[in-house]
Amino acid sequence: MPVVRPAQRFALLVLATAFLSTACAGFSSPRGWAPPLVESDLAYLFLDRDELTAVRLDDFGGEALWTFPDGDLEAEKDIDLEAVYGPPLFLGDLIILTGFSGEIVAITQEGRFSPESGSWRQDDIKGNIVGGGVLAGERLIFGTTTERLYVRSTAGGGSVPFWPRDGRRLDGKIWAAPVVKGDTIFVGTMAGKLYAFDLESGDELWDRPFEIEGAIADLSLITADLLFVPTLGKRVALVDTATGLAIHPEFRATNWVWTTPALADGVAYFGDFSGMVYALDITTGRVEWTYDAENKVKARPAIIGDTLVVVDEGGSVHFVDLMRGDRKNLVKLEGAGKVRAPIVEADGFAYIMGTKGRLYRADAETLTVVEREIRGLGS
Amino acid sequence: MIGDIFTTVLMDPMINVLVVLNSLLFGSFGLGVIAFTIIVRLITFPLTLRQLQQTRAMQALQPRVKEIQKQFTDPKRRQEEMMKAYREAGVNPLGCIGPLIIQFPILIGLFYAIRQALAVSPEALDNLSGHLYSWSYIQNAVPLEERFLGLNLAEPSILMVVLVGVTTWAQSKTTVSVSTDDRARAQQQMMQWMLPLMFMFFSFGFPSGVSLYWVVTSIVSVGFNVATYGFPLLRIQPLVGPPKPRAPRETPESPEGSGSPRPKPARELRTSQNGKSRSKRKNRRRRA
Repeated sequence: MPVVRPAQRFALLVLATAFLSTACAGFSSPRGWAPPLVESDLAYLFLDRDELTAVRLDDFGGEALWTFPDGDLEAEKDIDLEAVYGPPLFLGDLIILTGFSGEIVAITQEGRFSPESGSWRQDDIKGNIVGGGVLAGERLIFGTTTERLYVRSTAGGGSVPFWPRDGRRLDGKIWAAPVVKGDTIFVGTMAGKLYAFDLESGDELWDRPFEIEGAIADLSLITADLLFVPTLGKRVALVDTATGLAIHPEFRATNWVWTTPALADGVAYFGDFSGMVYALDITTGRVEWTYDAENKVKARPAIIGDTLVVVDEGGSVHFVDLMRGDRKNLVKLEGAGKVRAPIVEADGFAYIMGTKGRLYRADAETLTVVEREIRGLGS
Repeated sequence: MIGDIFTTVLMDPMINVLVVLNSLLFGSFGLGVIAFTIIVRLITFPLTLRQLQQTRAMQALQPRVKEIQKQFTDPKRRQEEMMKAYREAGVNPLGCIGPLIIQFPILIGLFYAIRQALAVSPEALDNLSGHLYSWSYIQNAVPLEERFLGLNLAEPSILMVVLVGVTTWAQSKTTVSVSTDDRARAQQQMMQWMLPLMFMFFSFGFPSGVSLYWVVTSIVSVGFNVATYGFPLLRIQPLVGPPKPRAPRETPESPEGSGSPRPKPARELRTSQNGKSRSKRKNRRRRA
């Protein structure tokens, strides 16, 4: 009869630990979900977790023009963005990318890091950048997971007056990209607080921050004076930018709301993690209709004509009647991976990107979706 | 299917308890992990105790096992005698593996729960949403704070690697040796050093939160080991006694009232000169 000795018991544990250590890889590693950026016949896509590819679009798909960073180039081989969640920012001849690693890099329109042409990089940021940055004149504004709000100069990424180089400490991690309106910065935190700051003086503008239950993981300005504040506490608030107060009682969703809405005729359209899609009248604060996508909705929907294009995380594209909330069609994307990036409207189409780095174009007239094949990419 | 059961029955409750503890303990995930580890070890204490007692009883039985091995050459007979000795001592030779197997899924569940609950990347938080119960106390608590005593619990740390090594070594050091065989003892001596080194190697790739769990569970194990086996180096006596032997089936032939886990072999019992163990025929002859 075998006897289990302590050494054997430990060996079992070692085996289990070895097994668990193999499971570590990719468990929580960031991949990014930056939305595609489409401008006439050019598209900027993060086809890989931290690589930006410029694509010239044509009738069949697109031809890759360049990819950044290029590991074969000496100047770019040690640039590590890790993952990118916000869209690239265009500033004159430069494209600014904010990486989850905390690294910010400004590259040329040709997709190269070239200090001779004005490129710069900043790697002294404390924490991870999740939501991406926003530009306001000659300022670059972004928040980090170390509860810091940074305002830096777009000229080389240097410090600006009244804003500490190490960032301004707020209450809670900053995941949502800040929002800028004129000279005011709005920033939400994962502690459920929303702040307003004067961009030039750094002064806090409201008497006290707006507070809401749950983490604010996304934030958007939906009208000239109204902020859409969704939370992981299943709530949505519409906050007046001038007073910092909600204009209606908080809207209660069924699950987490981690998205920005599409807006048309005073109605905000957005989904939640239960799969419910809501048409919320921002004037009355009442829900016009709901639609059940039956799967988590993270991506911002898009409005094309009288159709709301919604894509759930599983990669099903729902064409929904904008007025009544009825389903017009449902198309399942094959091989898209998870779809979390906002849908982008351009040239009368809705562009969708999944985690597998494939680009899809939804046509609201024919209620169909086609993949836009990207050619000329390396292996 | 098995994955779903594992997730629903083990991992999800663990994740949610971790989140609740995090909120109760001042939003400190580190304290949450420590409290959770201690709670889990207390809940599984009856299993651990049984395992430790079985090991201790096995150790006590080793001289007798050695004796049987010398005495009987026939493997079948040797097996029978050993089983008998185990039975009489109240020891199940597989008794220490049962509790271990039960604890195993708990350990793996904890590992995954800690990793899931930390959710430092947006993808991880997205995944976490599917594991949280709908109670608003839990929903509002995420994301959790990964900083604890200057450590980032989501990333590996040299300090935790060292602590994993030290506590694993202490755990091996306080574990009793079952075998009386010199070779096996030497093997165990080697394992006392090899295991901490291996765990240190693994913990280089683990988030510190998982290493923290391992450190706390090792410290608790050291406490259990010392309470069960004592620690002669520090003159600490065992606080917990060995398991009671089962009542023998053949009462006339068993040593009465001894409670000893070391009864003599059956053949020796048959040759005794006095007492109840003598045969009736011999007694009759003696009286005549």
